[in-house]
Amino acid sequence: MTRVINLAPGPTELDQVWGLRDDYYKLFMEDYNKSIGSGDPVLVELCRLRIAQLVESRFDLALRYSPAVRAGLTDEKTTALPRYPTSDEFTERERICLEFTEQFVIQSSAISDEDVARVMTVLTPEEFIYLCKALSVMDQFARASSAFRLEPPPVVPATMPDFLLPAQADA
Amino acid sequence: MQSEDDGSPAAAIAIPIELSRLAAIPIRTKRSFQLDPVLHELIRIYNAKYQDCQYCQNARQAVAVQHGLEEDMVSALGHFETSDLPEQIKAALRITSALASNPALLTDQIWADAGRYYSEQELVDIVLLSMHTTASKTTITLGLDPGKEASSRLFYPTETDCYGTSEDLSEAIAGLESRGIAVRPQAEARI
Repeated sequence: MTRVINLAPGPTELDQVWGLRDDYYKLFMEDYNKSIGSGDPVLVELCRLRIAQLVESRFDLALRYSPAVRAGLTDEKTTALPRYPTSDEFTERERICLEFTEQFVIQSSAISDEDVARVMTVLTPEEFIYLCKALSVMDQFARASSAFRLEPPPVVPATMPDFLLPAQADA
Repeated sequence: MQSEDDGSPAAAIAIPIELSRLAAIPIRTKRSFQLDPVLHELIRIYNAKYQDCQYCQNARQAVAVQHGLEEDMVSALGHFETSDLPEQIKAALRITSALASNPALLTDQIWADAGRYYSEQELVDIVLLSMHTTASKTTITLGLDPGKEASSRLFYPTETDCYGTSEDLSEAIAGLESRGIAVRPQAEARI
């Protein structure tokens, strides 16, 4: 249960907590949805879930990005995510981007020109720019979800129309 | 790095200006976060230092300075726990610090201690502002930090090229002016 006690109305703890600043909530989620929609959906979803694992956001871990599921992202692969450096489930491109994601989450100011150059061997400059923006909003959102201790939602929040609950993803 | 969305790639990766205004950047408005200006500025600068954004950490909100922000408070951010900063500022910075490093470290004790000084709505605002100001990670990672020289100055809420305009902002600026707070850039006021 979230650590916030006096909540706004809404079907999920996300709505109930962020709804206390409803104007900010709506606009942030608009930017979030737009920002994650500009890249390869499978790659974005792998990065989102890895961020959620690192910052311990149970809320984020309970959702699946539907464009990624439609593009073929499997449960086997998401389950293998903590073992991405060695698991056969992942391509070299995914490994490099996930490693970069970890750097972004843990200490982005320590990312070197060499680190960026490595990512640019598997992404175009445009893809890299959009990945950075997606990482930024996903990192922000997961940090707040963890800090507020948001529970996994019983339904998909209306502000996250491109997401599914795992049961829906399996159907 | 903020922008009105004109459909360009730069605008697509930028933070919407209205979102920042709702985060009370540059000042509190009726629909924004409602934190004390000094605390707001200390949270913003704490994250700027943590993310190593030269541009962000070398500017000061003129309104916060007029409300009591002093440079020794800014200097203390790097060691706030052992500093002379007031206990209520430390309580808020513990939340900001956890958000920036590992939000799972935000314990019930930290939350409860902060709750001795702040309402629950203010605690929510502290979390959301701490989160909002981590957005400079993108700027740093893309090598787009304009640097210290571009920002070593006081900044004012009337700088429309940075903060745009809105009814809420205009109303808040008028409210500050009516209380004698300077809201317009002075000639070359550098820090």
